Amino acid sequence: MVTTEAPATPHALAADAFEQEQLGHWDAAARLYSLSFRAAVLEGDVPQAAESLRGQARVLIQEDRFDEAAELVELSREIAERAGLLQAAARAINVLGIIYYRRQKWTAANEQYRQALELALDLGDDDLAGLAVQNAGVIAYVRGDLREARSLYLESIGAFVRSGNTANASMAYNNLAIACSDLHEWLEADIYFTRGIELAERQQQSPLLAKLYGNRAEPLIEIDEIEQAVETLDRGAAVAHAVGDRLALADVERLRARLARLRGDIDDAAAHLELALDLASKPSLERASVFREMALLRAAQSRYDETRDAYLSASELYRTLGAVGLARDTADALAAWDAQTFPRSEEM
Amino acid sequence: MDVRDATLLVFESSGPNAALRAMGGWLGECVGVRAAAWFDAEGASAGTWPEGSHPPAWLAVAAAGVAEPRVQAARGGGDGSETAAHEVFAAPLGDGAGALALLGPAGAFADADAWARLARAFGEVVERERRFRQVVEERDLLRQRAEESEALHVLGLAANRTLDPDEVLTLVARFTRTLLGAHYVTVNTLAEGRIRTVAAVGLHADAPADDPFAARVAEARKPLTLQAEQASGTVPEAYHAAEGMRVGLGVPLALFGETFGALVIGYRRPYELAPRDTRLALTLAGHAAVAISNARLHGALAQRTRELERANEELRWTTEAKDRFFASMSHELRTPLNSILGYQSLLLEGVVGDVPGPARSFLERANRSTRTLLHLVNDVLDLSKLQAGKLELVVVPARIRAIVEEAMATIEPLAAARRIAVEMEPWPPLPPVHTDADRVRQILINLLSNAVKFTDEGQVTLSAVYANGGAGDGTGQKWVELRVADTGPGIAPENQERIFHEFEQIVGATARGGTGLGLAISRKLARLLGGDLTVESELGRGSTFILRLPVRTDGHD
Repeated sequence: MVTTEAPATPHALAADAFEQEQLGHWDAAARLYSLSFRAAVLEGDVPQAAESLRGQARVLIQEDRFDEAAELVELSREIAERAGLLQAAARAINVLGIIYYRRQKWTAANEQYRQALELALDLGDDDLAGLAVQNAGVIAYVRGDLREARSLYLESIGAFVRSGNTANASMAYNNLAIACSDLHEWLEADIYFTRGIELAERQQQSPLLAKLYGNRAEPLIEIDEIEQAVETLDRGAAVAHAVGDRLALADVERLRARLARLRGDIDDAAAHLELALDLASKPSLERASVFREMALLRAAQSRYDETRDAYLSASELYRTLGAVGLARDTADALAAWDAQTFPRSEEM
Repeated sequence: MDVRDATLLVFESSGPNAALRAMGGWLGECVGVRAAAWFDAEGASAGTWPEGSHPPAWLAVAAAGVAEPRVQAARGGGDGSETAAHEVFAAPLGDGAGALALLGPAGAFADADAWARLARAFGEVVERERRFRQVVEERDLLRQRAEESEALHVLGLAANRTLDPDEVLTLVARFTRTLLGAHYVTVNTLAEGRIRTVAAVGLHADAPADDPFAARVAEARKPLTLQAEQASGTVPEAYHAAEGMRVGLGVPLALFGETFGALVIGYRRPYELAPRDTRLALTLAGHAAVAISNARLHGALAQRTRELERANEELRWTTEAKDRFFASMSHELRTPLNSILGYQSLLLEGVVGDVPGPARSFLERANRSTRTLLHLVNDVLDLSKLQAGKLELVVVPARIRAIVEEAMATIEPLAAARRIAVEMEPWPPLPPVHTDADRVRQILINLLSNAVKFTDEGQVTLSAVYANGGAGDGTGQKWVELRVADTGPGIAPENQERIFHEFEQIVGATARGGTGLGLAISRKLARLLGGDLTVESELGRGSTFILRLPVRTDGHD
């Protein structure tokens, strides 16, 4: 008996694509968005066509193919505007902002986010408002304005609570907690990570859960809740393995190294950091953070040259990635270590 | 196979539409039913079988207002498909659930009870679905409220991280904007009868003017709304019309019964305000009110602290000036006084010839007054040196007994004049004490002199005790205690501390002379020497002054 499967609808294809995107399977996601776009064009489904193009652009951004992404997102906006789909156009503007951000053009990116926010408020699109504000928060964070980042992430939580988008709210809590960690507001950071975990568990958002579990270990270590830190790192590692998130695994290893260093097991700490560098082999914030942790380990070993090299590697990588705030913070940490380790005598 | 099987299928269905499909399929095949429709309480079609078909209007008419299950002839719809050979079965579905209508061949609905049971089953499925939706809605509502509470909690945590009211108010304004999906938010406070915008987000105007709407909200002490007028399309408030407001909500900023401003939320699009918006706005206004209240308290505290610091500074300056004055004046006075005393002594000793009787008497009085004055000046000089921390001690090993004997010898003339016996009790072995002998002598003379002056009958006794560890201080420190006891009037408990204050003399003391500085100086000296001076007394039973001096043991005398 021959059975024929009904052709997938543009919506169904886009839903599958989104799922793959969430899992970080960029090739599969791009292919499915492309199929969805074609199907939408064939069916004359303009809103879906615009959305599928936007989705494809998002995936290209993840692969650092910014020019192609920009072309697709401009096309998406064009289609949306011509069809009077203001919401789709506004979302395209937001994605355009992400492209500027990835190209480290902060001012242009912020301008796109501002426009997207204005349109979102006009349209009553709370979810887009939340995304636009959150993206602006990411820029504030990498520029080192942590208090502004915290405020913007908080605003995005307000918008996601209103829209009921639990998945996005979970991401916003993660970002808020990271900003608070950097501000050394450890108790708050733990509360926000925990909240993000609750929401992500409800949504079964495995990729985000891997990050949340791993990230939560840092405030727990700082408030001396070591058992909980070990537990959350184990969970993070399990989920990161399951979804194949190497960067989340690198973060887990980095924090395991910190735990080992704090209990005086230097060899174990070094092994975890080597593993973390293998996992985060390409330039990324995670790799820079591993260098920073390496500096702390080498300082604990009184290996001065290696300490300085590790700090410089971290700082340079942060700067290359446009994270000027983190670069500055690392340079300050190096200067502080330098002053403490090699105090200058008074000149006679 | 009969209608009971269809009833069973209806019961097993997950919802009304699934039930309609299952029932229609079964009945179509087995009974020849051609169409089934479910109408809601308003008569609108809520579901049909076959799926996607449109029920003819006459079927809706047949179902409309039906109170009991009934069967009636089908009235053709004009297309010739339904004829007199068909019947319609219509039945109510229960409270607010609408009605069910089936179109089938004539005679198909003959078993009235069975068809009524089918309709009841369908009604129960509709009710089940309604309740399920209700539970889901309630769950979603509760979840949303929980999310809102969490978000407000997060805002509270962030706000607690700063004392800067501007930062907190801006944070509240920004958070309010997204949580309420508004275009702009302003925080306004009342001060000296004026309303001022102290924080804002999303405004077009650069420097916001005073907002009369915010003032009205603060005055009304309750939430107020603004709606765009039909004709102009703008709100009747110039401030907000200029901002393009279409809908506005203002809630008072209040805390502990005091209203001191308003939070205003503006929408530039048509928007239907819900009770949720007002509830959230009031909660957020509470955060802003706490921040403003904290800022005011903090400001008042800072102002008070500044005032106290200023007053303290003035006091310090005044005290220093006083000390400088006393030190300087005492020094300047002492020289001429010594000169006067010297010349008086020469005159009294007859160096320039005999002084006649009456003149000698005057001269002796002048001499006594001059000595009193010199004593006062010396006391003031000592006190000012002590207060300025400039009194220098000469600490050497000293024999206490020798110091005591010298002091007693000094006081002997006064005691003799007052006919008061000054006695020394049997002396215990005492180690030499590292101390300033002159200062100890000064203290003892002061104590003995007071004792003699205040004792009208009886005697003054001086005793010594060598004590280990003092008052259980656990330090192992050894002490010598010198006790000067009198049989004078005693000192009331409330005055026992006062007498050590400068220029303090209790009632009746002034008549016995003295500057009111002696005990204050003595206690300060005792403390400077590492010891203390205290008193034990009971009214009518005399007083005992105890001078305590620390001992560094090198042997006994």
